[in-house]
Amino acid sequence: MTGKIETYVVADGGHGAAVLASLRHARPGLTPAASPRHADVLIVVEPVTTKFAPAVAEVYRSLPAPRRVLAIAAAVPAALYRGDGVGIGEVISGAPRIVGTPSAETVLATAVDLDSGAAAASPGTPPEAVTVPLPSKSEREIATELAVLTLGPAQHVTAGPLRVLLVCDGEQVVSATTDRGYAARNVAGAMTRATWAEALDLAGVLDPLAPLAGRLAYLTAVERLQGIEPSAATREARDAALALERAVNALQWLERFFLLLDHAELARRAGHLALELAGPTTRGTPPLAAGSVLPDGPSPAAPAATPVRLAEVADGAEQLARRLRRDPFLAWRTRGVGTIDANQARAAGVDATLVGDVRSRMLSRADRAAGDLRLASRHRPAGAESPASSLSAVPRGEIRTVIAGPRGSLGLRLASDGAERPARIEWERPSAAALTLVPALLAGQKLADAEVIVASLDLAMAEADG
Amino acid sequence: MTLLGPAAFSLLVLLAAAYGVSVLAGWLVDARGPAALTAPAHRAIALLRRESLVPAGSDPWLFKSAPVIAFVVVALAALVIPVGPRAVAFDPSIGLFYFIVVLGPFVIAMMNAGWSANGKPGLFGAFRTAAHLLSYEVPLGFAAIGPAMAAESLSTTRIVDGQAGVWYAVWQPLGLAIYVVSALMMTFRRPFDLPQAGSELAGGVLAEYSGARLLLFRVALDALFALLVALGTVLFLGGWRGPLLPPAVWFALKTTALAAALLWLGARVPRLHQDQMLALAWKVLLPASLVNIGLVGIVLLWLEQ
Repeated sequence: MTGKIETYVVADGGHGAAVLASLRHARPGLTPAASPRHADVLIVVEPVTTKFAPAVAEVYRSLPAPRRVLAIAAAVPAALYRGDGVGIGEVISGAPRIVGTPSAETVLATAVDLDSGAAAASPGTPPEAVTVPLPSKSEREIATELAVLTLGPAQHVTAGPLRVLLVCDGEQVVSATTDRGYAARNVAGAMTRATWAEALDLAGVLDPLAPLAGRLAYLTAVERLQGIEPSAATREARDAALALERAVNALQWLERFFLLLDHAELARRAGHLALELAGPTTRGTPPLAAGSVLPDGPSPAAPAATPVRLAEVADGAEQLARRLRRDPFLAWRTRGVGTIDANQARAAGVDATLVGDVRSRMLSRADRAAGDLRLASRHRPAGAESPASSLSAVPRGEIRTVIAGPRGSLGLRLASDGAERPARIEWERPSAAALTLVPALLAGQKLADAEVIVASLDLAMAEADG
Repeated sequence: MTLLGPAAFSLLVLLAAAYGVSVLAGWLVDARGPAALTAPAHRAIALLRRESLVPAGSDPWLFKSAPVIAFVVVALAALVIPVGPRAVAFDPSIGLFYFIVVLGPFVIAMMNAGWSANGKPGLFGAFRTAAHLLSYEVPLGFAAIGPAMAAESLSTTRIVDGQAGVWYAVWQPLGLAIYVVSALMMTFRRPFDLPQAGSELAGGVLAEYSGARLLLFRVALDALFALLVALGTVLFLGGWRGPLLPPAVWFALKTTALAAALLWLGARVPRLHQDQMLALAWKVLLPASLVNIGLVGIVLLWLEQ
């Protein structure tokens, strides 16, 4: 006998953001637990890397008895992990799995039926040691004791696992170190081992939250090597579809951000707007009603986003943006925190959209969500057709493309030697670039501001780790 | 012996009030709808069925006693809240003073909980709890002085009796505002829930608690909120006074309305960090509370003349 699920804790291997977004809206009152001790169930989104596995086992062991764990096996191409990705069964034996992209109701129904106590965590490989340099007491004005606080790797500040080690002097962060690689899959390497057609699917999982951006970046690069010029209608359809993906990501980010700030009302508003677009499934961004923008045809099943619906959601997003501007407490909480100047942004190779403080990044995402929804709502299907690109024969050459993705400019350098698979793939990942700013941004900040600053960068760790 | 019966009744009312706070929070903050009525009961049953862990390396005595201390002090403080004429378990002449002093160990219980767990989230939560104590204690006390001055008594029943004509909230609105903000700090409610900041510190002082002990702590926190709101009703909203309806019903309605207002407001403000909380307390609330005392004194002198 188990009972209703009220709280859950998540170990997201990198592909779980869409599932988790839908879980938050599955039932009012269903909330992520603050601590594993408070959770009714541990949800693991597979696959997890061997680096992340010990942390997952540790979270499982932290649950009070009767422990319940559920694995969701995200649909990723098998070529992706090459032995590094582990299934949850290798870490926690006896854990039931749901394969594919289940609805939130399926996840909850399965979790309720779990036979408590059936799973047992193996000790596994101990986590890698990370050396954190501490400033010597002679370097500081007052020689107080410092504490090293670990955030993650299973945490909610980023989409996917990341460990941040904070050296704290009370509530003041003295220095910060990031430990990444918990969601590393070597997508670029896998793409060079795949055929041109298979590589399109792999490009879509670089950033699980933005599959269209990855795929369009790859497709555009291939088309340019092939000398194919898509029609104006197809280009417009792609721009509209990308805009919609950006808007969904922005709204889901806003919801996560306000949950971090514990602003229940704004989190609910942003979440409802995202839900209006993404629907109650776990499939993420819906297709436009306009037909396909990719060679493999329109996406199945998910509810299409009609221009009227998009315009309504755009109105809601604009109202939300105005509300954010007027809120004095929100301004007090976020103004002047985590400021990135233009030189820092240029040196790190991040977009100018990150320049400013946490407040400016929050407002700019809200504004861009509204703007992208207006753009998508103006798109009309007339003239759109499936692109003519063929993913079987790509002539020799090298090209660089840049796509305006949800987290900034997503770049791809693609080289072909005329063979049946890409010769070289190199992604320019906006999350990876933004991650390099974290240590400098956190030094000297308050502990409470540290998490807000990291969250404001909108890091997708699967994309950052590549 | 004569106190046992009223004390038991007071405890029952307190538990009912804590349940009511949880239901209200479910409606107003989590938007649960009708399910909010039974959600606290389901949650309690689920927690009781869960193991109550004691972390390795913790101080077991402090760790286990913290939720008990928290609940006991709340139960003791509830004795002086009058829900009707002659409907108070304990009515000393210094009831208000008793209330504030007896609730003092609650913050000690929170600090013990965080420190004794031998974990960093708990330790940081304990530091934040100390910051809370520095923030709310003086403004809360000063805000409560206004009604005591007006009633010329520290007795909670006399303070209610003193509002037979007009509520103190009508001519001490500043005092009421200071009281409710300080009460939110004292009860660790949004936007001042830093010690148990779920989204920041993995639960903070409550990070290592599970099962029955976690349930007891949560009940104590909800009961504390209900108690502070009830005291606010006593101090500023005329307590149980009102026409037509029975006194206890008036008391319940006013307390519920004030609690709902605070929960609704709390859901619309982001969590402030402790520097901001301390700045609010020492730079805004404390000077305002001194001004409030001055204004109350001037009004009372004018009324006397």
